[in-house]
Amino acid sequence: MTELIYLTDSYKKELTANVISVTPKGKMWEIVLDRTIFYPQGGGQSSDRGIINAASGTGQVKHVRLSGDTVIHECAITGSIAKDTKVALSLDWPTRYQHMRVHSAGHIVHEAVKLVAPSSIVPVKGEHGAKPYIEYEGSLTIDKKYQIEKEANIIVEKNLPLVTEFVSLEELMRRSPWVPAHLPKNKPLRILTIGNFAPIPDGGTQVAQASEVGPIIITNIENDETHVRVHYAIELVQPTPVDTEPQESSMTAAQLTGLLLDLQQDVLAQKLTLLESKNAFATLTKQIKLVPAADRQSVGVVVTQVKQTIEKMLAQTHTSSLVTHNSTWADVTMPGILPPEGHLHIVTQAISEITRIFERIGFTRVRHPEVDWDWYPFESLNMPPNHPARDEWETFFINTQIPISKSQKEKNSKFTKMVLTPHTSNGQVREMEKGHLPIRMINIAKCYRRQIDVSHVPMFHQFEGLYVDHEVSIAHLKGVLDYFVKQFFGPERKARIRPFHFQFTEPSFEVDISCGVCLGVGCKLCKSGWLELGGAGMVHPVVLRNGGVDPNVYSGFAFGWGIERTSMMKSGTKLDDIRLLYNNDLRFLEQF
Amino acid sequence: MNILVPDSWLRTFLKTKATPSQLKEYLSLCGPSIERIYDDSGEPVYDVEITTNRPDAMSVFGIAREASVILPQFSIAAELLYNPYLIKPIKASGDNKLLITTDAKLNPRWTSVVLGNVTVKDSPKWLQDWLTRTGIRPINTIVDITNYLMRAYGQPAHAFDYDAIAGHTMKLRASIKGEKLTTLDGKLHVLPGDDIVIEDGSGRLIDLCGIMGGENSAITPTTKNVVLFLQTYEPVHIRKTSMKLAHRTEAAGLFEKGVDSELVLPALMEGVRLAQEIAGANVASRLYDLYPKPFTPYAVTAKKTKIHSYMGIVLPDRDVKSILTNLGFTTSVTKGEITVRVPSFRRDVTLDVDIIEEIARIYGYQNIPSTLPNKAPPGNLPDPHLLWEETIKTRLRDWGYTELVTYSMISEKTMQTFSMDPKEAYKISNPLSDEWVYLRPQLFPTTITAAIQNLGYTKNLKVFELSMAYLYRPNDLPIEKSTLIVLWSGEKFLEAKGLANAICTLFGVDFDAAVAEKKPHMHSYYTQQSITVGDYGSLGVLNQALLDSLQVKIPMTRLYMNFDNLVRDARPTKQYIPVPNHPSSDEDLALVVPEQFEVGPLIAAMKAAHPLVRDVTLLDVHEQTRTLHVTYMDPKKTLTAYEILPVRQKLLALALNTFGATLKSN
Repeated sequence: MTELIYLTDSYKKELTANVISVTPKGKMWEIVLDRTIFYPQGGGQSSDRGIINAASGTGQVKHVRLSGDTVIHECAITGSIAKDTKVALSLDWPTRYQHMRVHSAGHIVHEAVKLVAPSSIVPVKGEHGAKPYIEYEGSLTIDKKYQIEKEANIIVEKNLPLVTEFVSLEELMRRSPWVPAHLPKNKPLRILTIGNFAPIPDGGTQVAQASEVGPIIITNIENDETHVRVHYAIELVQPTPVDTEPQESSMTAAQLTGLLLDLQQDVLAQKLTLLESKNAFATLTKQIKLVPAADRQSVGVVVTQVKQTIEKMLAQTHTSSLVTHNSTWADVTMPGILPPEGHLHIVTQAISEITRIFERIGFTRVRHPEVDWDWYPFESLNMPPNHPARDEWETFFINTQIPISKSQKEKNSKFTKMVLTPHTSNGQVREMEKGHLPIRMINIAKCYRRQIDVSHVPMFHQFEGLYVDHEVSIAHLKGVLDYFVKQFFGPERKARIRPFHFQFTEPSFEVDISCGVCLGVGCKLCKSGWLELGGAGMVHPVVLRNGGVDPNVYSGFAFGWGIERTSMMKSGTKLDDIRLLYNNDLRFLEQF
Repeated sequence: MNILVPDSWLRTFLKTKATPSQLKEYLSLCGPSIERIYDDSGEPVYDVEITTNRPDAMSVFGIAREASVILPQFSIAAELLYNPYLIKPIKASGDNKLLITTDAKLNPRWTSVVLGNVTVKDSPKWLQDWLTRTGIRPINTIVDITNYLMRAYGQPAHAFDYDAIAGHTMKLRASIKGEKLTTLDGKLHVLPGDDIVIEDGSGRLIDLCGIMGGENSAITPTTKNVVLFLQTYEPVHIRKTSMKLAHRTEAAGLFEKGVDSELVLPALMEGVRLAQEIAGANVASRLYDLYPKPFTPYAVTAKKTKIHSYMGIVLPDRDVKSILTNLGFTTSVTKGEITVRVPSFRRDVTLDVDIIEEIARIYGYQNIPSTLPNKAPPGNLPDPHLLWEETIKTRLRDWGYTELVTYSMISEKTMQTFSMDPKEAYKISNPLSDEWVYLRPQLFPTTITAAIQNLGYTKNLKVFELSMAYLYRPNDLPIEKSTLIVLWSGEKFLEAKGLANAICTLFGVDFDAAVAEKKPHMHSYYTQQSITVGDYGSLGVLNQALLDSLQVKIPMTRLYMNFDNLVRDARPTKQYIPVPNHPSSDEDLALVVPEQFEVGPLIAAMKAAHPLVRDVTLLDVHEQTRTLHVTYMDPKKTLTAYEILPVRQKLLALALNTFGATLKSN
């Protein structure tokens, strides 16, 4: 009789023992020890492997079997191992541990089956080897597999303990509602208890905690006339490298059949679209070659059956949906479902449009300060302090007294007074100061003037065009203005320039646009056929010089006017009060 | 400035067959703009706008002179009549003396004469009609003559009661601050100082020069002797006084622009002639004309190449010369240059470009071709801020938000409501109203103020503004900081968070990483239901105290984004990830979670749990259940249920063990 250490300590990996007998059998030797950690094949669990080391030689344990109450280790021996000597046993632990996990998984699956299955099924046996399953008398529908899987994994997730102990039969019968027949009555029984589930007789090795098993998959439920097998799988602890080309026999007929039936069920339940069903079926069909050649015929039957089911189902669905589309009454007068609708401010819309128009002729939009040194919107533009021309702009001043000594190091006297820029022309010298010629800019910014009435607001927007290059002419200015007017207002409109005066341009112009109603002939709306648009001119030599540009080498033109006015002239919105633009009333803004 | 010119008055100086509408059209194209023609009792009256640089045209004669040059360009004959520059001074003498002291710097030319035995009465009808039609109220013969001179020639004139001038002494000087003077209109002025005034022999001020005469020496119905007085003044002084006293008269407007010193004496002669004619006056003194530095014409030269380059065309020399000569410039042409001697009334012409303007406007801007620049464009890179602004605004519009644009200025009260320090803000020294005093240091106050006005009729407010805030810098210009504010009515925390996420994604900025920084809020505008988005902003439900102070009765949610920082960190280039050849598998996991459960970390952990997990999103929230949508994908193959299961088990184990979330049982 061999003492079975693994029954009480399944984690013992090494042990010393005495050799009882060594018997040759063919090329192998059969060794019997007084005690062992090697598990003999049985109860569905595979045999352990490992090494028996003696002083005089080493035995490779290839297989272990139980004969009566004696464990026989079948070994290949190098050197020699003698009777009545001490030997050291060492398990192939990874293999053993895998066996343990598979075995424990089997018990967990069994508990799950008991939770899910009708009580009429009776466990028969478990196979915990390479293709593990639990077999029952009775039958189970394949759709139970999800529930079983779920319940099994809950046990794993809860990490329930697996406890083995020796009890008497009476004890077992008291603790368990169901005890298999034919158990010996006169010796202690080893039982396994998972969490609070009922104990169950077991002679194998078990992991201590359910989580060691890892996720469990129910791969198939296989029924025959009287019995049902619940196939399951777990992850290997050290996954073997995935073969790039799956090998024949890497899948059993049962597995593939199960997957095909899964698909059939999904199709019938209309969980998949037409395309998904077809793709999934094609993928599974390809896997036939993974099934051992001998079993392929049986799988083929299932394939054909599933294919017909899918096609029939899809044909039905398709037809019925067509019928639905063709004959169902619908109220087509119901309003459509609108996409979300936001609105850009009119000024933003105009800015975008103006920017695009000038981009097409090489003018790039820039932005210069809204709050600026008085020098940029005035002095640099040939308007010294107290110049009468400043009256044209009702300017807001900023309440700051900059000590001259503390202001900017260079040009310090220029930077002492701050204003809210009353026009975008402050960008002219600022743009020139960048030092890149030629210049084609469109400067768009907020401007501020101290006035409010139906046609004036204290904050508004202007756009300012500036072109500085060699030999820039009035003809070019006219060309650009005509281009803009036709692009922005329409191809039938025209621009004209008339003499005007600004300190920072010479000559200076007032720009008119032909009336949109009479196209320049004169009508009730416009009186003269023309509407005033804004100002323009050839950049004054003083301004060029202030911007560091030599007026004897370069010339330029500039133009600029209000976005709001320009936009209102175009849109024909009949907006009679410019203040509406900045009341921010959504009932107004959402009209644009 | 605009003046009204009756047609009949204009035609005393201009002989032409041009119709009023022709005059209007052609003058507007090439010279002073005739904005409209009024009909006054059957007479056309022109409303003419004259630009500030052309005081020489701010008169009936000035308009006639322009017309005489312009009309022939349109093949309409026109001849200038009664040119005052041709009037010769009379020989004046008499016993009434004036003791005059003046200062040539303040008063480059002084002319005056005493007229005796005047009759102060109503003017004849023709004069009254002209004055009325030009917008001046007739008073009496003497005052009307002075107004006639101003309108006819653009030369302001004044008449004193000779007998009211103590000691017949007139001393022109700069005033001392605090001196007082009551003008003709009865207004008492306390002078700011350095104003040009005239003091009489008793030491009282009798004239606020260039602006308005004193009440104490005004013409009355009983006036017998008159000093007719025409001058020029140093323009800046006139302007300063007029501005400081806020006393803007037409005379001041003319003097500050500079009247022609050569026209002073002819205008005085014309005044004397009229006084004799309609007021029975006789010349009772010698002619006083103090003019130490008479005008000498100066030369201005323009290169022909520049003229042609500016106009974009080549004009024949004879055309150029003819235009300039007709305008009164003595013109000489050499091979490469045009040189003019500038007449006294056109002192606005000082540079070559001024000559170019004269040539071009008379030639006619309408005759210059229109052509787009044919040179290579600069090829500048666009400003990314501006591009991003447009992008974001357009996106927001398409996402259903409406843009507001608010004034940049805010009131003192708003500063207090939002706990902003006035010392850290720019204050307008001359505000238009109490509403607009400070430049907003943040965008939020104006946007929310505008937004809440709409709450009365909008249930589902979704608005934004992308504008500047003005950050204070001592002794320097503000930092103009682009800021985005989005506002919702109601508790829309998740909308705000989702929008911030979408905006960050658009910029290529890692939203999750930014949120994970957990920076403190800069302002205490929020409830606890709020987060910061790293350097890029913050979002959340606004707190009750703030809403109370704005008298808002419903919850509101805001998103604030520092637009500049987004632009700074923008990484909009998308990296190519190969398109998967294999379909993904998807499933929904309904998890029962503990109280006060934060789902964010769970999603993050699940996403990172296994390489086959491509995405995890929150599908549904119901009581203690969070339904997560999990996408499994392997780029190399189609996943089978067999392969997904262990991954799912791992996710569920993670949810259970780390987060206490269990799969909901059916």
